[in-house]
Amino acid sequence: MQINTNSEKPIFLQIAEGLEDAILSGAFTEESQIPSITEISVNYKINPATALKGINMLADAGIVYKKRGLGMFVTTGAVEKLKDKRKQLFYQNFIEGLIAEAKRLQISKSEIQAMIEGGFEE
Amino acid sequence: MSIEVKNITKHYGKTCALNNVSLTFADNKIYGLLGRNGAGKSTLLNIISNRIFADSGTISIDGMPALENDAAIGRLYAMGEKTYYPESMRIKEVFKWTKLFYPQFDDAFARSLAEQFGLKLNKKIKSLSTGYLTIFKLVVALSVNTPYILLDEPVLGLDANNRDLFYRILLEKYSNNPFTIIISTHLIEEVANLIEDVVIIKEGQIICSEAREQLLANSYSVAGSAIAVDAYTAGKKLLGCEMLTGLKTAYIMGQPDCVTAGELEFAKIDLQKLFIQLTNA
Amino acid sequence: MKIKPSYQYQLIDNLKSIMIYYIIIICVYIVVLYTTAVTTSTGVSFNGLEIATLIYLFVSGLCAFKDNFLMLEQNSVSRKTMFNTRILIAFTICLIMAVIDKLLLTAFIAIAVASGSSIQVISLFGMLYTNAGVISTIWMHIAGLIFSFCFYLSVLAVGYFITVLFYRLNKLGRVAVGVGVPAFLCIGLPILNATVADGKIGDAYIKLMVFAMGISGSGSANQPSNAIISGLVVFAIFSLFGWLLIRKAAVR
Repeated sequence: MQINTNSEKPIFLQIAEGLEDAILSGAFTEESQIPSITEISVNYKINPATALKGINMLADAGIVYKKRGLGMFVTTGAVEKLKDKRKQLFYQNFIEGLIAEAKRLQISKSEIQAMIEGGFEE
Repeated sequence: MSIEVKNITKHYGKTCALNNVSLTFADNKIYGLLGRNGAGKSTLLNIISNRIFADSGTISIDGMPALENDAAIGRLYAMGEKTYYPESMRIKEVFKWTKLFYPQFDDAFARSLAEQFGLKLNKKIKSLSTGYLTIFKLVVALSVNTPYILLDEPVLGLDANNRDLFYRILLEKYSNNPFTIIISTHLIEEVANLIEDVVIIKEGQIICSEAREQLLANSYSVAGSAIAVDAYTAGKKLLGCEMLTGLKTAYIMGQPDCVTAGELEFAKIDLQKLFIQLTNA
Repeated sequence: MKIKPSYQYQLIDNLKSIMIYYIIIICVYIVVLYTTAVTTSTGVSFNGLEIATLIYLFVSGLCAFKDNFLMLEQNSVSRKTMFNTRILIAFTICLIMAVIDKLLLTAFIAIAVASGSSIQVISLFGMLYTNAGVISTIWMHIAGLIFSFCFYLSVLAVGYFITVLFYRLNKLGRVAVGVGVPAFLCIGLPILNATVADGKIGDAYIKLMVFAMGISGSGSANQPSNAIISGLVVFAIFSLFGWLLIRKAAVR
């Protein structure tokens, strides 16, 4: 997990997304424990409140849950949930940007389709 | 539970070091007290810790007036830029006496910190280098366990490794058992993500005291051709500008309005940049 | 409260140097005893142990402020507590030293007599208020102890006041007071006395001292009560001035 303090993205969001990536990649499997607030805060030298905010985002979305006295664990079914969420975001983050840039460069719809097909074949 | 600073004014001869300063340090938060050289940071910390006296105004700690009140000032430990322990005292003796003055002082923790930093307990204070003098004071400050810790330039003379170690220990301790920390420093980038609230002091006045996130969310930069930027910034709260042959970057308080955006480029400002813009003459 | 640790800290600080002081005194006595025994010279005396203690306490007062002030400030002790502790410390060390002086003098006299030495040991109190330094009654022993205690207190307070005054003054003030006051007392006043006042200042000074110390007569005709009260008055006045200066002393 990488935190870029110079990024446009708020740090708590980077933490949430970093953990999501780790869960999607299988680094944290379902029902396994994720790093504690203290560990995250000390490791990235960020205020614990920021770390808490990031983890709370995941907890609110039902991706992780709290076991009293033990820490935060990945919910069963979290990977499925994340995939759904990321697919929705995929359109906003990539397709909309792709089309906007393509319009600026006057790339036609068929040209883009050809590019995508080419990309998949590689 | 908080430190309340009310209408504090302090003059040194004819120069006004603090001008009617009022603010609150709430409990269990990490504060960054930022200001340029001579802005009044140390003066404020020294007044809070009863080391110097204000011309007027009051300090109260957890509801108790702090002026000449052992019970109130005993709730804080202030690490100053200077060293106030007798020169011929050994580190372990300082630990012993500190335990007497602050019964909550954790001797075992202090010893383990000293070991992590490589600070030898048998050394006399006068034999310590600048860096180790800072380390020594930090070790005491991190072990006294008072609800309020005031750190004036806590990383003075520390190398990168020791600064890193200090921030880690501080965060670990804070995150396991929160207390209030007020850090006054010039190294803004290093503490930017550590602190929760920012207090900026300029020429003896508090110009900003709010959550870091809120402060940063409420400021942005806009870049583009000078004409477009000037047109955009008209009527907005402009902090400052930078010019680069025809290209202009303006720093603005508030939220960007996307309607007039066009060819302009918006970005957020980091704490150090914002600080420079806010405190430029 | 912070009185107990402040008291403990300053007491241990003081006890160390008091111990060294008495080791030196005992060594000096042994040397004097030895030389008189070897050279068989007569008429050697070991007088005024209290004067030495007075000088020690004056210097101790002079050294007692800055380090302690900063150490106590660092440990969140208010100036009020500092001052109260200081008074307690003054009483403690003056009492300790008055008692030790009394015991040492008694021991020194006994040793001199027992060893058949010709050395004469006379206390300051003995010189001022008895015939030939012989203290006969139990009341005079007690009065001697109280006399030393009060006299020590006054000197300690003066030393402490001077050092606090110098801490508060800026550089210019320090030079002005440091040079001005001694110059006035050693040069200005005698000149004034000799010229304008026609010796009256000197006379008044002697009268004042005689009254303050209660030594108008000679030997056992003198009473130590005036001196005891004078000691306490000086202690009270200089402590009060000391407090006024400490009250607003800033950490530097």
